[in-house]
Amino acid sequence: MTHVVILSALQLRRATALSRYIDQFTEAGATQVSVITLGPLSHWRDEDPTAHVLDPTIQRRRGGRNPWHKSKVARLTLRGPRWHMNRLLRKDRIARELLASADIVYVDQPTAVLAAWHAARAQGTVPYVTSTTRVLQMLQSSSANAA
Amino acid sequence: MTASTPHLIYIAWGFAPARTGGVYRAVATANAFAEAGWKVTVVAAPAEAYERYVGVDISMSNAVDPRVTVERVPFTWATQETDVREFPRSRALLGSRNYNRIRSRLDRLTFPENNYGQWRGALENALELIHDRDPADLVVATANPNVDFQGAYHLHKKAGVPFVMDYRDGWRLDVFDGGYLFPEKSRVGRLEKKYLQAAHEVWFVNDAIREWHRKEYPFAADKMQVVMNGWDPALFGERNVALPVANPDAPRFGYLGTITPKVPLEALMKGWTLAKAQDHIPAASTLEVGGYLGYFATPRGDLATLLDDARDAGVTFIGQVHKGQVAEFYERQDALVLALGEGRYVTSGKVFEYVATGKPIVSVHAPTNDSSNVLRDYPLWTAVPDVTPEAIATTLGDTVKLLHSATTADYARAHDAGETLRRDAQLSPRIGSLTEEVTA
Repeated sequence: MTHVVILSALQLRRATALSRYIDQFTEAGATQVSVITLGPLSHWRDEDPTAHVLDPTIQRRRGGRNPWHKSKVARLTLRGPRWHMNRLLRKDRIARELLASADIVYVDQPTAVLAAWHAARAQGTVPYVTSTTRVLQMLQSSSANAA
Repeated sequence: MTASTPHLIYIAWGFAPARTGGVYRAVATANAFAEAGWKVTVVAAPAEAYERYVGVDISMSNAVDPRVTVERVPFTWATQETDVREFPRSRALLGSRNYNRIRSRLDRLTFPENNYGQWRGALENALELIHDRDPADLVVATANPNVDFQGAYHLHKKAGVPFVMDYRDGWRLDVFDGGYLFPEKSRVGRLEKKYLQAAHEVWFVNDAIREWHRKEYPFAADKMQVVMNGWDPALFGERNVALPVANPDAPRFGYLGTITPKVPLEALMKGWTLAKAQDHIPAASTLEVGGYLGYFATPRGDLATLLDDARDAGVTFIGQVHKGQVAEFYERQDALVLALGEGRYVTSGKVFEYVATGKPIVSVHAPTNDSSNVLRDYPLWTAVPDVTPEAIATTLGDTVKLLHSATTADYARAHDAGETLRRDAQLSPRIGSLTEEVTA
């Protein structure tokens, strides 16, 4: 049994790419795919696993009139999504449990890297990778070993 | 080293089992020197680096002559690392984008080449050790990456070992548009001039690139030689004359090669779809595409989407084709599609393999591309007048007509044309001359 967790910093965005990854990982032999995202997603399919959202209220707080400036400022400070996601992931029990049960963690976005880096160091041997190809290779080789 | 066994150090960052473009030439050159009686030490990056960053073709390892020694010099490509645990703290804190920008600048401090520049120190140390252990009579460095030239120059300066620069590409020359990638007075320009002054010989893959360099560096014009690519006899085993197509109503087209953003893939897919829609080619025609998508181990999503969209029109993408499976791939095709980027300085290594098959070839590249010069006398050749979907569709139709009309005699002539383009025929004059000079 191979459990893949997708750790994504997506927020308020189309989730079609994530859906494609779920299909690819399942096809390659993953028995369970879980998704952790920073914010709520759109275009989620019925058959996709329910994503665990770290900050469901992020949409409300980002209703300012000048989103570009606001997000740019946020990106360059410790209030930015990278740091925000790192703090949320550390405190979120469900997310930590999901990561603890994972065999492979796919880190989907550069914004998720800080949180992933801390989690990877805390967790020890579970591979955290930023390439879908590598995830697919690992899944295929574990399927081959099992066979 | 003995008087009768000259020692060659061959510097090639990408060597077997890497799946990068120049590996066939690198392996063939090292093998040819070994065959000519040289003791050959190849200096290359570790296989793990290929696995992580550019992809590997394990079957390539068997292609290396057992007499060739390969020394692996450590190389890490920090910006291509995909294992989060291997990320340094700075990358986690700064974010990948900022980290990559800073890291690329730092890498270029030691040598002005993105990503590969940092290899300089390790390469120079390794070369010194090898030369101390077993003094070299000659160094051949193949580029790109151009840091390979620095290794050869370093050993020349340090120990007076003559060296050959083998250009598979341009350094200051943009082979696609003929412009300058770096100005004459730049750091790259100054380095290239210094290397060319010191080099014993300089090899180029085609005459157009040599002419460009002759004009830019007239002082080194006499050292400049053309050592064309060619096809490797080991790849095909015993060559047989191809036979006319048994079922021209369901022709099988094939494309094999690395698909980079320079390859007109979008125009080809549109042209193919159009050719079917306008009945230029039979409805049962298929196009099988093999190779990597992009330069790196991770395939490019945009190129994959283009291929996926044309699936209903009979296009299948089969991914990487290992060296050991190449002959089989060509065997099952009726005609081969040669899609290349624009540029009169570009001669694809693939064109030689295509010619070796003796099968009809349809060129999907600008007529000015240097591959047209290789194919000009090939009897089973059709070429697009320009790279537009309409022209591609019409030319594919012409190729189907050719499949109907070509006779056994045409296929025999195509087979003979291929014989002249073997790689060993290109390499042996230069190796013979260098052997004479070294052993004299």
